Amino acid sequence: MDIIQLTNVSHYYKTYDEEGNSSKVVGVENVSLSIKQGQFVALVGHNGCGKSTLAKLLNGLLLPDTGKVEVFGMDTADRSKIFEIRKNVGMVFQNPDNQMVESIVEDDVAFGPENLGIPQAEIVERVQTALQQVGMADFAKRTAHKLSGGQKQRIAIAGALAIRPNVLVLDESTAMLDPLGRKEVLGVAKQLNQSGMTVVLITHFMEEVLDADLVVVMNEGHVAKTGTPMEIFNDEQLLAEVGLQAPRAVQLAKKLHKAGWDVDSNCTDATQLGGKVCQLLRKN
Amino acid sequence: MSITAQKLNFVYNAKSPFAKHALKNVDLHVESGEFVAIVGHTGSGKTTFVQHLNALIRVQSGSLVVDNHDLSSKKLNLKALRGSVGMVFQYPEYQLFADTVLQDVCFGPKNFGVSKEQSEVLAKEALALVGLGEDVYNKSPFDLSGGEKRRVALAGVLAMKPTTLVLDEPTAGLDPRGKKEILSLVKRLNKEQGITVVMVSHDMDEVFENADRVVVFKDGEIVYDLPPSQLFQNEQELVAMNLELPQMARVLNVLRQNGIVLQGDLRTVDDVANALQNLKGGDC
Amino acid sequence: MFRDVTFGQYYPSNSFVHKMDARVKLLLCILFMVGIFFVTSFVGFLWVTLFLALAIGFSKVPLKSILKSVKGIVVLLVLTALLNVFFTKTGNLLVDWWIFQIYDDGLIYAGKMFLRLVYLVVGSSLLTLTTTPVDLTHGMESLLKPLRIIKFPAHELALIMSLTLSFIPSLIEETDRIIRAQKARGADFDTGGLVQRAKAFVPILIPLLVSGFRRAEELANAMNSRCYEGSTHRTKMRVQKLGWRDAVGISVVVVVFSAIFVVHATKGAWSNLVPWLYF
Repeated sequence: MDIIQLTNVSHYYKTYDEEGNSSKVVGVENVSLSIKQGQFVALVGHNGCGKSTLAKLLNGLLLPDTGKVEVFGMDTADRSKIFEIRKNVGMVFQNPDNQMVESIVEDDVAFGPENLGIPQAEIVERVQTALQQVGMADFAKRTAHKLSGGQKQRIAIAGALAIRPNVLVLDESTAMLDPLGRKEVLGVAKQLNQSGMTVVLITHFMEEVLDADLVVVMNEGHVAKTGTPMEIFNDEQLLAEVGLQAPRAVQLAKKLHKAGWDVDSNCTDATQLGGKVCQLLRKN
Repeated sequence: MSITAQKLNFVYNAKSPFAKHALKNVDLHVESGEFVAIVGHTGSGKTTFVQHLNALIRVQSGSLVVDNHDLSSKKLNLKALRGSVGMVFQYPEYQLFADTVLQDVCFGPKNFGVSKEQSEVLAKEALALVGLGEDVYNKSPFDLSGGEKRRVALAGVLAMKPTTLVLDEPTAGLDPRGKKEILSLVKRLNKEQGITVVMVSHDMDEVFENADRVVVFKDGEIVYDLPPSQLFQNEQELVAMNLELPQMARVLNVLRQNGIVLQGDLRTVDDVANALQNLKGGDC
Repeated sequence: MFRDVTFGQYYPSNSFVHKMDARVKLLLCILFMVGIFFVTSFVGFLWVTLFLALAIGFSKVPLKSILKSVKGIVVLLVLTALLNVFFTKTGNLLVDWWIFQIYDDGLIYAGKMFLRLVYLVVGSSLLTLTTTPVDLTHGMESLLKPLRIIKFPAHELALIMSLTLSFIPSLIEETDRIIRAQKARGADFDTGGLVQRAKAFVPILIPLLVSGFRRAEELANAMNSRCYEGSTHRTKMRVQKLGWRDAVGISVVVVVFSAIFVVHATKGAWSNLVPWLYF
């Protein structure tokens, strides 16, 4: 079932020059996209390609100038539905430090359910569950700013989960983290997806899209291509055009495959690839 | 120019219950013109160490000589030191402040007493080095794209004509294209202008491909100081330290474990692919 | 350079006073601050001293941390005392030298004012030392709640306070980083005249302002995404429940200060009977 449906969506930003004349800058233009229940969707592209604009269109933080965004059949332009939409689409942003409303972890996670007017006892239960889901239950009473980047970002995810959304959008939530933090956040996202959550991951780390069901490549505000990770990685011309690169192991596998080696060009793991190469060399 | 640290120790909040021994007997020598990468976890002491290099953190105990400046001396000429050791912080674009790009890049030279005219000459040279042309001189730095901003910030340091460049995660947060631009720039400065480079990085693939030597910090100590090709052979030890391995190093490690040793200093996907191709060609 | 700043100077402990409800502590603190101005006799001050000693004892906060906050107002203390000494012109003349006359009333007033101010600071710092800023904010919000009837933005005020609290650490870090970055570019914040030094701060303030806007935007997005729509329909996770400690605390304060008020109110009638009570 399509739970999010974008039809010919365009969004423009206004900028002003020194004389105060405004001009339009493309955020996204003529984007159509549908996201299915339970999918793990990765939105990739270089900085300024429109992927973050697209993310903010998904829960009505931005509204389309033309076209239509529907979430569970609700039009995001319908302001009376906006809270219903945001209850369904949780969103986590780039800088973990800029999303904390309260300084104590559990208070921060409670912010969403408090806004919804959930009864006190249920808030406590939701906060606990959400923190467990991201593996941060032991940190409930801690001060958030003393935690690592990955931990803070997991708390931000818990804050979104406490609203009990159907879709979780991670808007470059791994961009500022170190590799360990990125692994933590990505692990949580995958685990949530396995338990049925629809996940939209916005990133420019190609290693992170390997397990996605659907990869959407954005370029200059347009959708350049959608497909499985391998379909995207195989389109070398596209990758070069949009300034992205397949993970290095995938690049090597493809190079060898092209040169006539009997390796699976879809091999994504460096160690596996090394093993396969050894086998082939021994045969000779 | 060269850097020599001997028995360098540093304790944060000494004499308080929060005392943290951030550097323990650090010995390190960097030759003039080298490209050294520093890796390790957040809190391993690497940032404390690099901030010593231009006396943003003063030596507590031990000795540190950078470019003939004795940093443990009370009579240290700070200006002269900071002129010759350029320091590029994490997310350096957050330090931009002036009305125009040119003014911002002039800030450094002007602080060192260079005349306005001469500063502009230096600034223009530096901007050209980072690949930015006349069209940006009078733009507001805040109107540029993320990658451009970072290059302006880098130019702001290069305009001081440093002989040593210290970079703290220079590619963090950039998309693949921006990363490539910054890295090839740093490499060019190192190879063509002989600038000594000390680069802190979390991206092991980038370290593997660019550094002459890799220094690994753990809990305030240097645990490895090796060329990348040798360092990443210690797969288990690095994994135990929660450090990632470069993908090409993983491939090479598997080959080595199976008795296949490729000749040459192999770094990139192309290096490995070509070496394998040669090996196969020779065998066949 | 800003790393050492501590906020709200909270002293972590599990003491009796720490466990009291923040609202109760806030109210009692206000009562204490008002009450202290009704203490006019040294006997009264003796009582207040005993009360404070008890409170500090039960809070397990070391006396040193409390005296630290008194240190901050030393100048003010000395100034008020001096003013009282020199400008009181009643009682018996003790010293008459050049333009200075000191009367015994002056010394007594000065002493009492000195004690009042010291106790004021001790009392309020006991509140901040035993209550986390978060609890204080929440306590204040719920105390101000009734004022919503007259459109007083109690929730918004509390939200602003807690946002400030949660953003201060990262803003300090950021300031620190920008200062280091500009220093590395040769910026000099320590020499030159006033104008020059003020100018030197532009390269710090502008980036801070810019990042402030960026942070505010991301925060607004994050809050909107989490269904924030002001105070309407909002519930609270934290329940503030009064316990036996609060009852004890309230009783003690009420008894002590009732006594003080009684003594104060009966000044004229009883001062002949028990003059020492009013010294």
